[in-house]
Amino acid sequence: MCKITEELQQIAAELLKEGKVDLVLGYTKGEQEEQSVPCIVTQPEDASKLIFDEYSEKALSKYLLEESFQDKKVAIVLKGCDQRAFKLMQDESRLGREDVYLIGVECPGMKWGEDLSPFCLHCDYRTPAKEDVDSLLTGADIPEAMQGEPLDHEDSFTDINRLEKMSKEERFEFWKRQLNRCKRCYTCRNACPVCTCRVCVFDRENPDYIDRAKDQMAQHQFYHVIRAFHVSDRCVSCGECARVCPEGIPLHLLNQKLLRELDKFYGEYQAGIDEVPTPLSHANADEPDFFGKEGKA
Amino acid sequence: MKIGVFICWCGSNIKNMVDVERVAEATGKMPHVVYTQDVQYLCSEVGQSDIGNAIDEHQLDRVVIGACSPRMHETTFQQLMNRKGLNPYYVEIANIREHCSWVHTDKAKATVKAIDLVKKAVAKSYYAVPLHAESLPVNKRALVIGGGIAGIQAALDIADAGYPVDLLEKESSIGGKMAQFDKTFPTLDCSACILTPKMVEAATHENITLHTYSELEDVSGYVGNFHVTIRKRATSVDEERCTGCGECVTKCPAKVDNEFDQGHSKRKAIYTLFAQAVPNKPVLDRKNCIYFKTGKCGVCKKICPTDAINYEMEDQLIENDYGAIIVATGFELNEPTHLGEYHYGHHPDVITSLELERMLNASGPTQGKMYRPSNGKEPKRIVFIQCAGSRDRHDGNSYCSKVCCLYTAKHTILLNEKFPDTESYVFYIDVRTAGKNYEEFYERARQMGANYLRGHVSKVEPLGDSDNRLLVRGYDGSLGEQTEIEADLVVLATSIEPQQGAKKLAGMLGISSDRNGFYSEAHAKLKPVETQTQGVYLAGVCQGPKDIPEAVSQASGTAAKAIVLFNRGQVKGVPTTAMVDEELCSGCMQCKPVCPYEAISQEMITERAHGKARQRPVASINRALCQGCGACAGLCRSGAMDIGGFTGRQLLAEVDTL
Repeated sequence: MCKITEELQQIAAELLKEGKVDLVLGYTKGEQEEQSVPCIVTQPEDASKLIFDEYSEKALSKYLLEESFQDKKVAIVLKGCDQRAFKLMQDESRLGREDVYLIGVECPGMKWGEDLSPFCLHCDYRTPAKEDVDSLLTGADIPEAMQGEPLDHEDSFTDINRLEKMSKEERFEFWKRQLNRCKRCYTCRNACPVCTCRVCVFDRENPDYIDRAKDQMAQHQFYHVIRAFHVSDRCVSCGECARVCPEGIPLHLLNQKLLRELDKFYGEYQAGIDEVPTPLSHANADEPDFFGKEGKA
Repeated sequence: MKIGVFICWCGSNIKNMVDVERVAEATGKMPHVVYTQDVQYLCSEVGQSDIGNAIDEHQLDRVVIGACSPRMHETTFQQLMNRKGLNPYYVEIANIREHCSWVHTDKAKATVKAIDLVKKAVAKSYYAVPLHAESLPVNKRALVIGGGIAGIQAALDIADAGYPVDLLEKESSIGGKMAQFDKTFPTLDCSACILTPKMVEAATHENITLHTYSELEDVSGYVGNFHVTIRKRATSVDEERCTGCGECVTKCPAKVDNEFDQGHSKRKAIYTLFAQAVPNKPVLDRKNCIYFKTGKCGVCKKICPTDAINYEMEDQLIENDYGAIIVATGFELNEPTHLGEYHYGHHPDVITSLELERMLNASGPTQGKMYRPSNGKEPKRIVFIQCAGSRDRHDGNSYCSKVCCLYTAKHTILLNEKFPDTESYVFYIDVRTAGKNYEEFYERARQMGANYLRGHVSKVEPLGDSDNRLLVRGYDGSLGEQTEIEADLVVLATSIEPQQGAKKLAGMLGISSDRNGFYSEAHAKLKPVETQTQGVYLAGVCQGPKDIPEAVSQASGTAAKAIVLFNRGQVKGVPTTAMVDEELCSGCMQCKPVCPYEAISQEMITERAHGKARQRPVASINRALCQGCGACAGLCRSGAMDIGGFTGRQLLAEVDTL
């Protein structure tokens, strides 16, 4: 058993025993060998179910918004990206910090098939800051590729560079090919830790912002483009959207492209680390003017 | 739902390019449309009664109009709806004139487009919701920002109507630029003689409170209810105690360039702006004061007979509520050092018109005598260069500064009268004399001997003679050849520009500026003194170059607007404000920073879920502040924010129709 899992079980048991929390939200071993799944522990003796390993990729913070977690004292296990999402929810008045006990964990990088997730390779916020959590568990077994400096911003966007080099027509063909595989199962949206609207615009009826007919390819494109914009300046780069897509659509490319453009125009901004407002929800007079005579977009 | 569709011919304006009968026929087939008619002039009495009759006869509850821009006649038709007992927001206008007939040349295609536009409006009206404006009380006190002639006039007019006015001026005296002038065109009245009585009147008026040496710190609120913080800078002179005897000024040992005289004289560190300053009490310029620089001196404090000097005085923040704000912040003159060809800043005898103005002024640095800054001798030949930095798309401002033609004519006349043996040459692009008696004034200048040369000056350079004179090279258009004039003095008609701080002030007031930085009026023709922010009005050059009579009439215009507002005592809010769907709103408050009117705040609501009462935050709109711009609605990811009259539902219905 790794050091973090050991300490995690200890803390969880203590918190439950002392009645500091009603439940602990973390991960446990899944049915398959290389799988960890979310898990709720309410009894001190069950704390031994909890683990944290390189398969604990699912973001947990979003669960806190669900009805069953209301009016309860919750302890939650958060790795870096998940804590960013939590911070964003806190900044957006969705959660109160005082109601939740945060157990920050040092993330060893998540698996992406056989390899390390490309998102983790360029992550420079693997571990939540000490002052942002109530307990911080460190001592993870960090793979060699994750040691040292994270890949820099440019290197981590290799695919974006390839897309940017394409002609407009090629790029359109690329996205058509990708997005036409979409079944609009909304798994990407459901897994995304920053997709937290009370009622998603795509679930609304009257007005229907999107046509529910699933055979209309253009509607898939609308869905993904609208979603990419809704997430854009709030994306915490966890890569869950791409990981959970049953069709393997590289959705993160949309997010990463937007992040890159936003960084270019408004300066670097990291959601859940830097202060709100996010770059797209405020404006300064000296920002580039895409619609004016001088600014050629 | 019963909808009537009315298509206007607008005489021939629409009818010539759009088959109005076909438009009426095609839209008549849409669901819920029970009546259609095409009318020669819908806005006319006859047209309006046609609509009224149709409403009665067919029990219409919604009206769709295909006509000119809603900016023209929306109110006309809304009032008609009101008279008929229907909500004014049940009328929808499709613009088939500006957006269609006026801009197309193919009648068949224009007709198809007009049909689409009207269909779109019908679809929008299906989802129209009745809207109501809120009535808000008005605080009957005005703030005038800027104590130049425009600000003074506006303040006097409002005060005469019986309402209290605060007049804010950043300098230590009111008077503005006009106080620096010698004579005024076209009558050659002495500027001070007509200005100072107004200054005194403003200072002594029972309804006017002067705040000199003060600046705007912060503005919040909305028409009728502005909350303003004014920063009154520390003058270091106790106003109550100071008698204005001027002893301190006489004895102060620190001398600095006098800005009021454009640097052609010296003033003390403790000073009054000019002899007739109002209020006539000195201020201490701490940047140049020896006591503040070294801690030693203190002469003024020692000498003051009433012990009015207070080195510890601090800036004061004054907070007040106002119903209306008049912006009369004036202008600055461009310093033409960037126009290298004129040699300004490199040769002391190249000066600006305002420098000349001060020289000609009997209370100026030379008591009205002409001299060459280089050697103090009287100049014999003076060359005036017009449009120095104006009407210059490459290195200056593309606009015309408007007053230079006339004040240069004035300068040549004054020179001719006072110093008959001087010669005046004027290089100009055009002479613009639109204004009462202006052409006659210009004619007089020419008859009195001013030499007008139509053409550009390519270079002003030192002649290199013992007298250090200047050579002006230019093109004389009337002769069609290059010309060279040796000059003792060169006077540049520099460009009028917005104040340095204009943009910052615009930000505080929520008003907009044009491409040149002058404040934008709400409508170029029909709302020339209003701004896009209700209750904020524009007077004088801050809105664009203008001469004194124009600035004064505009100022009186703003006063009339403020008085109307105060007399009415109430303002109607905008009915088309943002609306929050609390069910959808998660209270994330991303909308708050984009709201230019600070109309959005967070509010806790209580809702029952699973048998428990629970509090949660939502965005809440202050309908008095909201102007319905829609920034929040565009930003809201979950679509919880809608704009009355332009709901997501309505806009999608329009799009779906196309």
